[in-house]
Amino acid sequence: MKKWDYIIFVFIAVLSVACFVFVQSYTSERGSVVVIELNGQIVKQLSLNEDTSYVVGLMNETEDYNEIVIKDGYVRVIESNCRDQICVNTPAISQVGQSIICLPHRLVVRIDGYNQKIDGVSR
Amino acid sequence: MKRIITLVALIGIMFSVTGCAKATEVYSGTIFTMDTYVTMKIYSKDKPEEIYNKCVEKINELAERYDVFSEDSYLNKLNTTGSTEKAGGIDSVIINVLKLAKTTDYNFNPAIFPASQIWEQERVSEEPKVPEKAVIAAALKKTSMNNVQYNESTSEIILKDGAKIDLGGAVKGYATDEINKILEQSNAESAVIDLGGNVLVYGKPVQSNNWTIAIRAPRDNSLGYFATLSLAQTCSVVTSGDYERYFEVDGVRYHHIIDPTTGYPSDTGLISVTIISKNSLKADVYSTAVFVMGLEKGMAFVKNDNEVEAVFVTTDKKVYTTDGIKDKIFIEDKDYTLQ
Amino acid sequence: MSKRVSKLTLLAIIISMALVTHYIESLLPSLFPFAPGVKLGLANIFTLFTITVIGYKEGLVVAVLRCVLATFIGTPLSTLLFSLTGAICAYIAMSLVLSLSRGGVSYIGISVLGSCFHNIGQIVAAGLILNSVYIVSYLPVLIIMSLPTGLFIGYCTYYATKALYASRALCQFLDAGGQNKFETNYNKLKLRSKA
Repeated sequence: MKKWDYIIFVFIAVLSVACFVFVQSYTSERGSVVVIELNGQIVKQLSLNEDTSYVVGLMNETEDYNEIVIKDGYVRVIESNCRDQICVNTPAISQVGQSIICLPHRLVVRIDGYNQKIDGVSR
Repeated sequence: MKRIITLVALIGIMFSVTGCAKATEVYSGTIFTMDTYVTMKIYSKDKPEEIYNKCVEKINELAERYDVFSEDSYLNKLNTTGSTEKAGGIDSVIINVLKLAKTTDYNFNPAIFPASQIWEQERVSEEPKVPEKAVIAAALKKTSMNNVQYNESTSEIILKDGAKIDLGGAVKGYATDEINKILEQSNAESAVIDLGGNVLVYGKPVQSNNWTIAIRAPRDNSLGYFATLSLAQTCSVVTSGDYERYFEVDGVRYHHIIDPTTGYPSDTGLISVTIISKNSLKADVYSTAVFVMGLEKGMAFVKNDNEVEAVFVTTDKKVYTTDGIKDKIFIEDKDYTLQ
Repeated sequence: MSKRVSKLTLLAIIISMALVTHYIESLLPSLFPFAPGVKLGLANIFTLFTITVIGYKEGLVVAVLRCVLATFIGTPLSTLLFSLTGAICAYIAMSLVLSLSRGGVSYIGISVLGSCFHNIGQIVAAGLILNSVYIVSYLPVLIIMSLPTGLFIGYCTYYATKALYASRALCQFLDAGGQNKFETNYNKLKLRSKA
């Protein structure tokens, strides 16, 4: 163990905490919208307060799918045919800013707040 | 060691150069015109204020030309002389509106002015009363589209028997389309235009991947809106409802969207209609027409046109939408139920 | 054998080992249930080894080729972007700390830093591709996890390199000039490694 090793360890710890704080500033309140994005585009929005299950995909040529379940205010990916199953193993989310990501399927499932910033009101 | 220094230096230069890249500026402002407030927010790397001013110029130009109450406006001249030739020449905007109105089976009637004015005058009076049947009937005769003669070959319009063209909200829709054109020809990256409630979102969404447009709640709630739409690209959102200009007598609401067949405020079970389309003029005309048509006819009508999507709200706060917008609407007020 | 050919052979062997390790690791399930997406990064052993024993340029070659060739043996092309970003970020971090520290760092430290920046690189790439800022929420966990994984990789690399040096097995791949460098590196390594 040498001098710079300790410096690096401290750096890593600090970096991790800094990221955590930064992320926390975005994710504080309990969310109410579950936003499902495929390839960066929103494909579906669901209420966090209604227990439901929704399958993304299965209609394209590759038959990739992710099954999303909303229950008791938590969202999880319960099943998927992706290779690494990271999305399935990610713990359930419920706070604004948290997300579950399936990289091979380009899927992002995230929570958004009740009062999202509105760009305009049509009347 | 020297190699490392060069490497670090290169990385440093890379970062500083990207930092010097031009930042997007934003310019926004509000004006009062066309009897309403117009707010525009323009994002551009290159003088958004200039783009804003161009838009203001265009809006004022249109407001002046199509002001039905002003003595000098083209529209007034057309209404008083009854002929486009005497008013100053062909007007392609009015022709477009007439053609669009025809496709709606004149549920949007550009000549509804004599009838709608009766109700408007009651609304602004000290004690609004329901107008007499005879008065409405007389006004209704003037609003018949038979009194508006459009000559295809000469593009001229003749008005007969007291017909008066108002274009209604269609001017706002047309103005929005013109602003869209100005934005396209400029280097604006994004813009949010609110033309008296007609919303245009242009270009790259500012806050995240999509634009978030709220729809005003037809009945007052704490939020002010009942749903939001997630739109990915340039789009107009126009809403017609029974809540903007109305008066109540004996608990009955008389709003400002007149049914051209009856002469009375339309009573087809809808309290709000929102049209989403890249074509703002169409969205404007359709939102009025479809409101008059009611849910069934209205839904069938918009489904026929794949340039538009629609959101209907009935009197019992049930929300119906076309398929293309179903995944993009999110109901925020639990009193409203998506069907 | 000419210097170039033997070095080429050496690198080829290293790259193929890295490739196989990379592939096998991708088949394994996620080792940490509470930290999804955390990988050991065993292939980084080879990048690290190449940097310390042979040179910086060669280390970069190993890192890049490992990712590119992985697409030929079954890793889907779409993940190439993520793995490449991670490997390159890890390489840059490890090279910088190695050269700037002048022997003040051990394999452990370099490896931890490499693992950390590998994750950061991958997350940033994924965030840009998916156009999502929210992916950043994975970072705190991933960064902390780079401590144990980096530790493990560092130990592996250290012991493997030490054994290889001791056995002088590398000598056959290096000519006179290379062998001189080998001796100096070996001495430096004894000083650099964990005592």
